[in-house]
Amino acid sequence: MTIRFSLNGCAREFVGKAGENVQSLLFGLGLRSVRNSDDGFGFAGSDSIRVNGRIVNASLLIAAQLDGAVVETAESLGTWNQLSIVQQAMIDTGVVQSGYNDPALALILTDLLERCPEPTREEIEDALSGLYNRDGGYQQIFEAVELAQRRLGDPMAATTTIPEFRDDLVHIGKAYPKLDAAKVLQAKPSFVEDDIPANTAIIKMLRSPYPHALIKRLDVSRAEQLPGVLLVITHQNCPDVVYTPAGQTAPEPSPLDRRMFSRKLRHVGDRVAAVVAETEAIALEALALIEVDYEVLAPVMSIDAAAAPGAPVVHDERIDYVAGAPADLAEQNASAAPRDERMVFNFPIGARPRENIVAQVHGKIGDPVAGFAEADAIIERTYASKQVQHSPNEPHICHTYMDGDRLVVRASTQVPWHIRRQVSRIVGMKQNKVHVIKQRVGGGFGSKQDMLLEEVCAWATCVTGRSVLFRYTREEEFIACSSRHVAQVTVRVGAKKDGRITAVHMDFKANTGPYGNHAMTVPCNGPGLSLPLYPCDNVSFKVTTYYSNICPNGAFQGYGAPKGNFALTMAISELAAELGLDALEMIEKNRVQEGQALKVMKAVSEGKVPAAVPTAASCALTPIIAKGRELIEWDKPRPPQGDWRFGRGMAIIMQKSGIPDIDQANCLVKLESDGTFIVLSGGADIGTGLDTVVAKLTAEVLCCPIEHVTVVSGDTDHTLFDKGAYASSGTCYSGNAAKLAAEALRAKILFHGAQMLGEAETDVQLVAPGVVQGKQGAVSLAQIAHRSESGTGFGVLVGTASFVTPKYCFPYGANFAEVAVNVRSGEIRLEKFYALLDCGTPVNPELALGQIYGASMRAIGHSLTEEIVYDASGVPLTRDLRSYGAPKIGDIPKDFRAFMIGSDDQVGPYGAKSISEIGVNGAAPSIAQAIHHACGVWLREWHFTPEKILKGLGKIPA
Amino acid sequence: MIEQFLKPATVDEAVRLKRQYGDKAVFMAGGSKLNAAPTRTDKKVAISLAGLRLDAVALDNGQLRLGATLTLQQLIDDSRVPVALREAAGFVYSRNLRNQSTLGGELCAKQDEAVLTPVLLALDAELIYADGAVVALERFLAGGADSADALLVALRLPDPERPCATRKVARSVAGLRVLTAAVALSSAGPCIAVEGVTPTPLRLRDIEARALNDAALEQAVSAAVAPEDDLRGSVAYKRYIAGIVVADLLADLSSGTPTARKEI
Repeated sequence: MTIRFSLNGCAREFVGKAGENVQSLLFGLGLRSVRNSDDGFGFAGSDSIRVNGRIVNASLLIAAQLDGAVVETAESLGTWNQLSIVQQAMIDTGVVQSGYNDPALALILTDLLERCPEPTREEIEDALSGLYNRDGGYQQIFEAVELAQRRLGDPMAATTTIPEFRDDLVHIGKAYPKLDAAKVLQAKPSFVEDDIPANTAIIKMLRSPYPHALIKRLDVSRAEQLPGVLLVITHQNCPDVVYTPAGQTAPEPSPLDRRMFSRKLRHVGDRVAAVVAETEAIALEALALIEVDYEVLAPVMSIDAAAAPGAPVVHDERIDYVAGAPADLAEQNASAAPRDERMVFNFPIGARPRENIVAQVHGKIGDPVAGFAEADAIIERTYASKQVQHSPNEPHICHTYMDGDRLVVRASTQVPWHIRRQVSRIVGMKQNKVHVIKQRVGGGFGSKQDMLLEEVCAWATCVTGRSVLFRYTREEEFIACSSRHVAQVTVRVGAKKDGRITAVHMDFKANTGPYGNHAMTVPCNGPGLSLPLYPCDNVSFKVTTYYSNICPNGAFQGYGAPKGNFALTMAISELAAELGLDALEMIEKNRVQEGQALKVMKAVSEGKVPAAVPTAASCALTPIIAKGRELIEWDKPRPPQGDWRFGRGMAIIMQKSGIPDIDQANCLVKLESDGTFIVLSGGADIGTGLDTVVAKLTAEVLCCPIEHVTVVSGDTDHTLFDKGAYASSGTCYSGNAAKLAAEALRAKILFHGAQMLGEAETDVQLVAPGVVQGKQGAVSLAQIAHRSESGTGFGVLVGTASFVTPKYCFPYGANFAEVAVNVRSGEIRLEKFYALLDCGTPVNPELALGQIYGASMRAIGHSLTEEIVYDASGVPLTRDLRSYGAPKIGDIPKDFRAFMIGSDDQVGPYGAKSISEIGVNGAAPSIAQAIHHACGVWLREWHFTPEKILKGLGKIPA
Repeated sequence: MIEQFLKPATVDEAVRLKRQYGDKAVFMAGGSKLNAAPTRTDKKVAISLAGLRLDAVALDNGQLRLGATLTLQQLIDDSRVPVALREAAGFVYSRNLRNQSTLGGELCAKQDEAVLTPVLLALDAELIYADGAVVALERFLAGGADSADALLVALRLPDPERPCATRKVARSVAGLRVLTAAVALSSAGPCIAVEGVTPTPLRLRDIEARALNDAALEQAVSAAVAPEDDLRGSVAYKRYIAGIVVADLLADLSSGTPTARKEI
């Protein structure tokens, strides 16, 4: 069929199938703004286009419907490489983070302002109702619209909502356009999917329909014989290597408990066979030709089921240890299944696989028994959280190909260096033969810290020699990803009548699912990032992580902190109520103070105990709580209105800024011939603005404009090792490495500048704009660079640095929530949500605000609407964004605000602390506390639903 | 996959093409359901309704005629459309979808979620087919006039001024709905319709006849619906909330106060 239509003002003709999907069609024509986040379910709107003047989802159209139509995509918005007013406003207000579906957002906002030049909040929400954006929490979009509106009248209108910090610094603490924002907003090639050669082979995966099963018979011969099928990978022909999907520093604390393919299937969605074919259609056809006989096993779906005596064993294979094998290993292996499979622990983490226990840790400080004996009141409660998903707009994706004898891996990953190490080992190549390139990442939130498809894609290329693409479907994001660990946390707190806590015990049980990626470190951060908020001399804790057959879990923003903090904050709140105290007063009485020693952190760690007791070296909780209390009018209760009751809650939160003595970052800065700089940073910018942080730090040290700094990052060939984007380490570790490298280069510049001037080194200084100023003269960076490269020069000037530290750098903060609860319907309305954070010096203030809004909204979603739900047989029911409960703009709090209140920290660069993760740690307890305040019901299980409220109120049976 | 896309210019031609291609063909208006992954059609031939000009709104002798290919957004934007129906169209929380989905498509797809249907039931909507046949929506939903060959050209609301209110219950704005209910006040008494808590969207005529209010109405509705346990909620919750929503809608209508909450 021939289809003629107007595309962005140009007549186009398409000859093809009438039923071809328009999203695929337009993306294939090079319109990269028309992206796919949900495989044609019509929820996400990343595929928004305008057809005959109306915004619609391209994936819900077929090609024939375009005949005679006027089609506009986001590529139409800018002219001559200039940004439109809407696009520029989005950048200036910090809306653009990963940028994956921000082109769609720009198109929608443009349409809105054309239809409705002065839109109300309701009209903005209505326009955006078709868009799901996981990055930024939607709030800053209102500011972008307001700014764009003003600029339509006054092109010079400026932002009014971005605070500035550190008057003594030029770049740090000031707004500056995110380095990659324009590129991603204009949908220029940025992401893995944007640059796939035409002859690339496609991988499709046959996945287990059962939560627990053994493959009895597997026949792939018919699939292999299908024309266009290049390879079928199964447990019979994959590398016999065990590994962990966790992207962690080696030796990983996570057990090496998965093989690329295994005879045993441990969750719905586990890998049975991968088909590598010329086209997606052929791959899908081949999947249907694979014959499998399963021996279905009884699944274990919960912590209690996994812990029960005689429970089905999820990992029954042989157990090996690299170091520190337990004395009874032979006894444990006596019951190993007679399959030629094994699991390996790099070192002991308390595992008892035959009891479904993957990790156990315990510890204490002081004398908890005496502490509880001293208490006037003791409370013990159990709090639970359900399984939630990161749900980034861009699914997991990997593209691999051979470059001569080298393997190239283009990935959407948070951990390029860990991917290189893991892939090299699995495919059997040396690391110098493997080149991992981190492309722009369309949202990660922890899920792209794990290796979920890269090794399969790499192996397919190694075997076939072909360029190969493996892209997850949205369903695979839910069933074959690494969601948040399910937790069951029992907390016992004792306190005196005045509210002073005398002892705390936390028993943290986690459900890791089928594989143990992050099985020890995630749960350890439960107590690890909650107990230090309430320094107490008598504390004990126990962490136990269980295997089960739910869909996989792994790293997720916040790690274990949201669950530990939920449990501890709620227990303190419940105890305060029993003591007749205000919860905030009790929190204030016991909370951490600046400079205080955090003794419990000597006992709970991520595999390496700190050499010295960490302290809360900088902590702005005092002004934060004061401001939050005032903003939310804590002391001024809202009277009921009809069936509505109002309540307030708050929680304090903390996080780390990288892992001392474990994490490392490296950087190299080189001086170019004209006096500009190129920075080679190992850091992985996953949309948070790390590259912009690195550029600003470099420019600040080297006294040059940010435009004179170019950052190359996340590429294992062209940059230096960096452990990756997780544990909130980016600004502190990768940033410090950049700052130190710039300082090393500055020293060389001053040395040679002084020599060129004939002055003493002590008499020269580097000043803006890029000049070495002496007492008698000056020489520019360009002159120094030119001299360095000449035939009689001193060689190119380069500064390199590595950053490690034994010191902790804690961001602190608080969430204040006001909810309305309808005691007749159970409805919960989030009226106000204020996130106040101490992230030290915010390097990129507008982006930092976006990080806070985004993290807060993800946590609000987890608290109120999101859950992976299973049926009675262990089959997940929520395999798309809608049934999962992904929040849209209409779900954000009515009054949603973020504040940054700084403190002076000595570890991070220019006093910067981390910002991205901490924001997810406090929504659940602050909302649950507010719900109790409103209606008297304690909800002790995420997420909080009207049904649970009604049960708590006795309106329906519990 | 659709292989042939036919573009008739008249209703007669569309009907003739459907007769010609029979089960191989499907009428396509916006395509938001026929092209969507979870509900994609397996037919090879699409007969487009885009050129038939079936998107008019017309008042005729106090009756309101709504063209079958009116998009949900067009319904919202037209002040002649009853407020409750406009609100129900807004329950489809995506302007993108509302720009594409049509009134006729919402009904003919007979999908699990039918958030417009309770309002239309409460307003005694009638379906008008290309051959002039008129079928009450209630009968259509009961399967009394189900024919894939029949081309729906319009809906008729015999009493569009009838006071009517509707409400949707869902956990998130765009998430799965628990139920949708609508109540209208006709000269004969209240008209009560629900969906999500009964096997198909339903008028609760037995309850209407009993002229109940408040707690008695809540209990009667709770007892009358037949929900299932699923990820949207338990049977107990759905029974309870169905009674609450219907009783509140009737109370609001009876008191003349506008509904304070359109969605829960």
